[in-house]
Amino acid sequence: MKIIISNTTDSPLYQQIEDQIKDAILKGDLVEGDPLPSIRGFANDLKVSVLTIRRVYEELEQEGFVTSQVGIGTFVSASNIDLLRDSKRRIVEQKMQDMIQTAKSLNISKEELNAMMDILYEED
Amino acid sequence: MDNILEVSGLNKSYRDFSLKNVTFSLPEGCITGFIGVNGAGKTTTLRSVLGLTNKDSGRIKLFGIDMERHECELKNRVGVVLDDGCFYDELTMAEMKDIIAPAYTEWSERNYRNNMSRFSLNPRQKINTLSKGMRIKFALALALSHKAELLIMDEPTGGLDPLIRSQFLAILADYMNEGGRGVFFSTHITSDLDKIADVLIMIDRGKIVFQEDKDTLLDSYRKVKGDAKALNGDIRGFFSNIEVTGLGFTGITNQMSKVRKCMPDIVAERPTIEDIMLGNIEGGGK
Amino acid sequence: MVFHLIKKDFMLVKKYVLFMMAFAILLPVFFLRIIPEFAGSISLLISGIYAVFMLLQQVSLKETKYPKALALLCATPYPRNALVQSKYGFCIFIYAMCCAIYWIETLAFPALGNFTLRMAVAVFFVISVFMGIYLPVQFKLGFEKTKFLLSFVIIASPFLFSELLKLYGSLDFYAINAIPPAILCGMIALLSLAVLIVSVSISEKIYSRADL
Repeated sequence: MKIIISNTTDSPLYQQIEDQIKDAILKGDLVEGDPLPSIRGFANDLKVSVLTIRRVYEELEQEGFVTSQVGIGTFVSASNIDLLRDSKRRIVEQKMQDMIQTAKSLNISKEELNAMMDILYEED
Repeated sequence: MDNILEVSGLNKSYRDFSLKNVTFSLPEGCITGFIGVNGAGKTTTLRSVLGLTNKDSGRIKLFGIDMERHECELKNRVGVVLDDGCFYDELTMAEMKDIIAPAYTEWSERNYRNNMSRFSLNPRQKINTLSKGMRIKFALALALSHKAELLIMDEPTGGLDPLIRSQFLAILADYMNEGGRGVFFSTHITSDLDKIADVLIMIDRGKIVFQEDKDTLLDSYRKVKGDAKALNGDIRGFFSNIEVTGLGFTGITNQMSKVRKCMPDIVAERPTIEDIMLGNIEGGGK
Repeated sequence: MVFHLIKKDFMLVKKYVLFMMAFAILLPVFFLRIIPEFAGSISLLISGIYAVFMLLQQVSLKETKYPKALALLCATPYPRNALVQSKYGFCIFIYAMCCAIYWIETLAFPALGNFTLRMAVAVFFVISVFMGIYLPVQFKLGFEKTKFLLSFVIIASPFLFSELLKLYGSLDFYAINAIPPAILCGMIALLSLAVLIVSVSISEKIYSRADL
């Protein structure tokens, strides 16, 4: 798992870390049962406060992305597969939105866009 | 999360200086940095917490227990590092240890020997032949050898070279790996705290300025750079610390949204603790 | 706890202890040569007072040189009372060492006479009175100011001494001589202890309020 913190965005630190962990889970970099680093170790590596990591883990647990067991650690959980699937769909939709925006600003028509999509899809 | 140290309403007057109603608490499991300029009251506060000076008023609780009634038992659970001059220099480290060790009921000779070899210290060496870095390591070796749950340190990294400082911070991080502990250290070398602190408490002229989670603090302030020509009286008011040169301005603000509205053409980044500290003291620059 | 603090004081002035022990050994021999009639009566008194006073000064000098070390000690669980008591213990230990040295010398040099309990108690009394006054003053005023006061006392001592002699001459000793020596000994010993106990309590009270 890689977490890169940006000093120049306005997004709060805990939010950045949380989002990147969520991304990793949704992309499948982290799967069910994978352990997350210890709070203190994670804080040391990122040079952030343990209170921040604590908050990240708490919110991730509330939203169903992880479960934590006292004394053992925090683990990725798949208790909300539908939620995850929806989120994944939402990521694709988001990217499509961005793509459409960019295309529109460059005056690329819908037909051109579809054609490009067909070609690129086959390439994989 | 319990508080490992609670100070409420601490007042102490000297002729030229006084602590006024100092109140703060250290959460358990955190490294707390105590910052302020020289003369702000850090050492006075620490001395009051350690029972070295008599306070005029106020209450101090360690591990939830009142200091006044259980001073000895509580001191047993605290490791103390008071910068580098707190030894009888003419003695060897072993002799100094023989003075300090019997005070603690939980003293572990084995931990002490481990610490001394981990820090590459020879106990038979005289203390006045040690470099500053070695003295601090020795002080740490002593503080870590009696199963202390809280480390209280007064400016431990002053005058140390960057290598020793990073070793020192690594030792602290290692100490904190076990739960239920805390570290409280005063310093004006804020770059160390950028790396390792969890909570920050700032004192200025005898009064507590803020107590905050480090990241919340760093998130609430921004270091802004932009065109000096765009500054006017109102906008200046959003900044607590401004530096203007012929090429532009740099300022610290905690009202980022307002600044963005008034000045769309700026670069903003997270500040350092030093920036925030300067922004919170008079004379920090405006 | 007090034992370790006394040990600390001895560790701080190691070299001077050896020097004072040599002094305590040589003094009676010296007196035997110069003033043989008085050697027996005043050797222990002089060696005791000098040893206690000089070593106490040296320890205080070292403590003043390293004030933060004392602060560190107070930050440990050592109670302040133990720090106070250790100073008195230090002096008493020195007195005991002087007695031991002198006793051995009386065995080696019969001209010194016997090492009597009466002599030990008398010297103990003098040292107790000295400690009883000096130590609380030092705890209250600190080493520097006490040194200043002491210089003043030393300068005034010839005048004080002559007054004391006059007093000694005018005292009625019949009452005291009527008391059997054993009981007199016991009374003076108890008086010394009383002086010490009062002095320790005063010093403890003073030191507990001191800011380091």
